[in-house]
Amino acid sequence: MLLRPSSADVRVIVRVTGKSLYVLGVATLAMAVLALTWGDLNSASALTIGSALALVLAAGTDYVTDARAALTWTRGTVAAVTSWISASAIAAVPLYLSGHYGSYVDGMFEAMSGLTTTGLTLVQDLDHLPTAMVLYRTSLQLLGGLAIVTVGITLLSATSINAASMEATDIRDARIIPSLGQSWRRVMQVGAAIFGVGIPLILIVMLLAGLPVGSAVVHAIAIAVSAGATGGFAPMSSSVGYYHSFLVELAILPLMMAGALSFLIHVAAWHGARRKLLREFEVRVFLVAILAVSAIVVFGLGRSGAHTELVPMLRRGVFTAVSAATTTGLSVVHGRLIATDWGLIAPAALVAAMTIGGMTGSTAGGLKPLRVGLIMKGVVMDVRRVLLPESALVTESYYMSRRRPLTHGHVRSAATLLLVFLVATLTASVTILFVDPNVDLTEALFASTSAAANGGLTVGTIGPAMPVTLKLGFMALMLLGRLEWMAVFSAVGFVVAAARGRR
Amino acid sequence: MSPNRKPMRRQTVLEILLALVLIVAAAVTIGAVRRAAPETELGIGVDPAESPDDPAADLVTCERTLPEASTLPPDREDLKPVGRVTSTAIYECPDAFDGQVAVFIGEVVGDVLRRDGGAWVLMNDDAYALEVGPLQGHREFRGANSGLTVWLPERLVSLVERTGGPDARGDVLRLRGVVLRTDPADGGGLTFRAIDGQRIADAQSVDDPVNWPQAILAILVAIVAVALTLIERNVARKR
Repeated sequence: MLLRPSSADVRVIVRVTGKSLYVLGVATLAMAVLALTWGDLNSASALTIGSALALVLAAGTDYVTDARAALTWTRGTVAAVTSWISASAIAAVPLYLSGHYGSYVDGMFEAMSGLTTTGLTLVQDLDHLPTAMVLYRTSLQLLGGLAIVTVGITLLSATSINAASMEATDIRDARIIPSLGQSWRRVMQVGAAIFGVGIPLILIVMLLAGLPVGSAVVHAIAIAVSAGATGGFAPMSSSVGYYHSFLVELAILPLMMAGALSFLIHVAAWHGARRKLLREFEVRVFLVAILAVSAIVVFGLGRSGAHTELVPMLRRGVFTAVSAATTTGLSVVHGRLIATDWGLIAPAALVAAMTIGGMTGSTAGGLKPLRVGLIMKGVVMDVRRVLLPESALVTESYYMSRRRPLTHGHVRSAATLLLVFLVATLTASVTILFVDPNVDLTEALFASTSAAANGGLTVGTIGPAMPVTLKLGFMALMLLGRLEWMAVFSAVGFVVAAARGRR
Repeated sequence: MSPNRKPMRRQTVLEILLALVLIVAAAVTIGAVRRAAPETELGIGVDPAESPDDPAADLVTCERTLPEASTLPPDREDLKPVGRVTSTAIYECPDAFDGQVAVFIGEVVGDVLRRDGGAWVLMNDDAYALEVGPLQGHREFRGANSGLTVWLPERLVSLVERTGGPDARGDVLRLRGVVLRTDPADGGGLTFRAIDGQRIADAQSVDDPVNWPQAILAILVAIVAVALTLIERNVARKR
């Protein structure tokens, strides 16, 4: 039986959404000030309008909401959905006003892509985009990345092991979750450490690559944030390939990895528990996945004839594989070449890497290595059960802070999400094939997986010329992937309950 | 949903509706102040999809039969180009173009990355580079950028005086060179190694006048935002 949401439910959701808009408004205001100091009045006014709209709505929500009502899991998940949608809608305003987006929908697509750290883009003439707007796109990834980790840690940690498998069935509806503000401060500290090291490191290698100082500073901020937040936006259309520097690529690799590692792992490492980290089941699955995908991509490059020498094969293959596995989306190769020159094996491996994705509690998307690992362990357990005598007791366990027994419930929940993910990407792929006859199945699968896993790599299918229906579909996929599917289903349930539930 | 349930009040619904009305009004206003085209196209009149008059620069595509890929050193001066290539065509069939001597026309954008013996540049041959100029100067949307990584030997680097960016359309070069599907000098990247060339159009600044309606709207909404934030802070303090 569905219960109609109460006023308190709505007010808490509106309050959290308002807080998100407040953060967006302040960040956008900082960008407006930056544009003003550079004398770019059009960007400054566009950003000021976006900032002011966010702050007006934030102030309005504060006025009407009740600060005393507690945040529960359901309220939190619905608030996460409304926050991402409303923040994307407002963040789209400066992009739309910049004149580099064909429509408001394109601007919202870009904002959604930035805030979900996907990295797919509909920007037109990026290579002439004002610097303030380049940094604004970057700031959206930073905000989205930090926000998703905050939501992940706050909402999902409240469900303990359920966070791993999203087994939401036994979550008490009225369960009070930790303060979002508290989690936000912790996440900010880890973020400050990653970017505090990452930006200077990238700046140094960019100067070594020959960029002039002014340009190097802007590019270093944009690329370091993009890598550390597993975002994927780049300041130039040729992405990381623009720098022609092995050192730059080498410096970006650990940043992408850092962004895809759980922020809780970063905190543990900071407190000296570095050796224990390799015992963590999800860390192991993540590292094995990256190694396996890198090897397959390199093999695929050799097989397709795209490369004949080992060093270029390794350089291009490993970077792209890590970018896919961490769902970053930065690229050293033109996206179209992945479809036309890399054969089938390498792109298939990249699709698999994006599907697995980065760790829970990180900025990365995808299904999460933990869930994939649980499914694999479940398969092993079932095979052993068949092979061993009926009387044998077959158990499996995994290490996540402590050793935990693997239950059928965990495997079933993880498998359910895998099924939902596959159905969604296949449905999206078929839709693309219907809408655009020039796209083949590989390209359609690549594009839909990239959106659903918040991957950001593209083979040229996603662009400003797409029909609006596809743009909206990809936006929905990005949001679904970012908020881990169940949160969005929870929000849909909330809306249905509001319309049809009993008082 | 919550332990102490009270049904959603009519006031809450009205507040949500009011917010939606305000959002729609804001959207309409924003649409109205969006800049009109400044009408300052900076194209050089070369359609990226068509050949210029020069017969040596007939556009080459995947469909056109190309001669056997050259294994000659790329700095040979006597190599005749198979025709003019575009970045889009090369990305569609890189193996067919590998080792071919061709003509490439494009705008230099971004930075000139100097290395021993020359420099790497990004040269776009999209509509913004050759036809209509940077989007800052007009509102003719022609999709995403497209270009090639180009290696300019030292003697050709001086052709580039100003590169394209937010405030300018960069120098447009016409180069003869070799397409390399995997260039070892670029870690296996696809490049165009220039042999010789010339600048066919100088860089031009983009005229991007201040959008006053947008600026005035920005000031107005900023005042409203500051006022509302201050009022809200006061109310919160009194609570």
